[in-house]
Amino acid sequence: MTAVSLRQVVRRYDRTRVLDGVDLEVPPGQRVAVLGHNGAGKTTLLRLVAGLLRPDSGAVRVAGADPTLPAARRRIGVLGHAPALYSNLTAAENVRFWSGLHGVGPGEGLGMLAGLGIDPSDDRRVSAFSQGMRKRVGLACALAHRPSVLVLDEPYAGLDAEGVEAMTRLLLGSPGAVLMATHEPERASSVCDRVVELAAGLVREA
Amino acid sequence: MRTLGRLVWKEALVESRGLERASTLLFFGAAVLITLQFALPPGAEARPLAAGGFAWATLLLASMLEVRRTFDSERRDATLDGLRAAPVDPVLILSSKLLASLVLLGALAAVVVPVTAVLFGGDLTRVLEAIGVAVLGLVGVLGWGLLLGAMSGQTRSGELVVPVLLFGLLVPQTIACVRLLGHLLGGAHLESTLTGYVILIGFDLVSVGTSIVLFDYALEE
Repeated sequence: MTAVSLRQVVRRYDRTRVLDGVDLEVPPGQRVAVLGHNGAGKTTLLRLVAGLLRPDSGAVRVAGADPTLPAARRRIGVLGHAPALYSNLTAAENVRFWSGLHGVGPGEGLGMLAGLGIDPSDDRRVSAFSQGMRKRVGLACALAHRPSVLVLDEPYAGLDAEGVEAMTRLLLGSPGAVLMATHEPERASSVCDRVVELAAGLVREA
Repeated sequence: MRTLGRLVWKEALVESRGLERASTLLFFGAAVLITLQFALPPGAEARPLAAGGFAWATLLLASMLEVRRTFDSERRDATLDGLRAAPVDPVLILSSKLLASLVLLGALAAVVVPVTAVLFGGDLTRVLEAIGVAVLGLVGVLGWGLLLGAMSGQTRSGELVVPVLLFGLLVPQTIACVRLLGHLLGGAHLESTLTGYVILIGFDLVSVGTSIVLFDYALEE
């Protein structure tokens, strides 16, 4: 069974067909980078896979299931362009909350937090963190439930050298499939097994 | 229940760290009441009769702020996407928001209702029942308000959607609340308090029920 499958997916915003019949298959464990200029529809594609959007036509499946259903959502980890973190909570509190919603204990996420260079006992709220630190906390939250599909929107944006190294280490070590949007072709080819390009509403191998 | 507990705990923890919503509601409520205080001359006979209406107006305006803010902060931090991407029933997200907002607005009602009674020369003997009426009315306000608040982020003129639609939807609750509060605080004549309660609870059920059914669609883009 493929990890991610999009068949003839169309998604419009007003009258613009941002995705115009996209076909994409991602096997389990494969890391796929999606390249494309601003407005090409990368984020729309990722949001469809994350179950945050529904296609106007066509089918999106994650591990064979509709990603808008709770059973499929347990298998998906999402790190958006802005990480989903409560500013008034600490990094560890955020990890505990998101782990709990996915029905797992916080141990995995807290261990990942430490691995990404964030002290789980740091009692500062994440509003005091830099963009790069917030991204690392967001990644720990996204990976805490060991998803079989990881959806990342510009994961390297705002990261310093240490953050880039930690992010790459985690992505290369992730056993699940990865679908990652990026503007950087070099990064895409160094981190991912496969690079595709989204242009004119269609996906093609780069 | 465990997931609902987690969501409610998160709402409480986030609010307890900044008290942003509570302090805003308190200051806003005080500002509205002080303004309304000058609506009638001191010693006017109508003051006690108007107390119920003024208390409800204060709570209704404060609840507009609350339903907007509860989703604004989730959108600002991208956590609404996180909640939608998690394996959580949208009804639980709605329930946690409703409980958290009801606690905040209920606390405001517990202050506003007796203070209004004092300011407008109303009767304090039935103030607890009046607070209960206000809370019942707020359930209906939050039912519609959270649904519209969730939808407002998806529309271009989102900030206009909540007040324009909400005031219209709340006409039955407003009439029932104002008449019951006027009766309890100012001794205004009321044929049947039971009818007022039936209308209030009936429309609470309609607003919360509609919100439960449509909330998932309201969050969609």
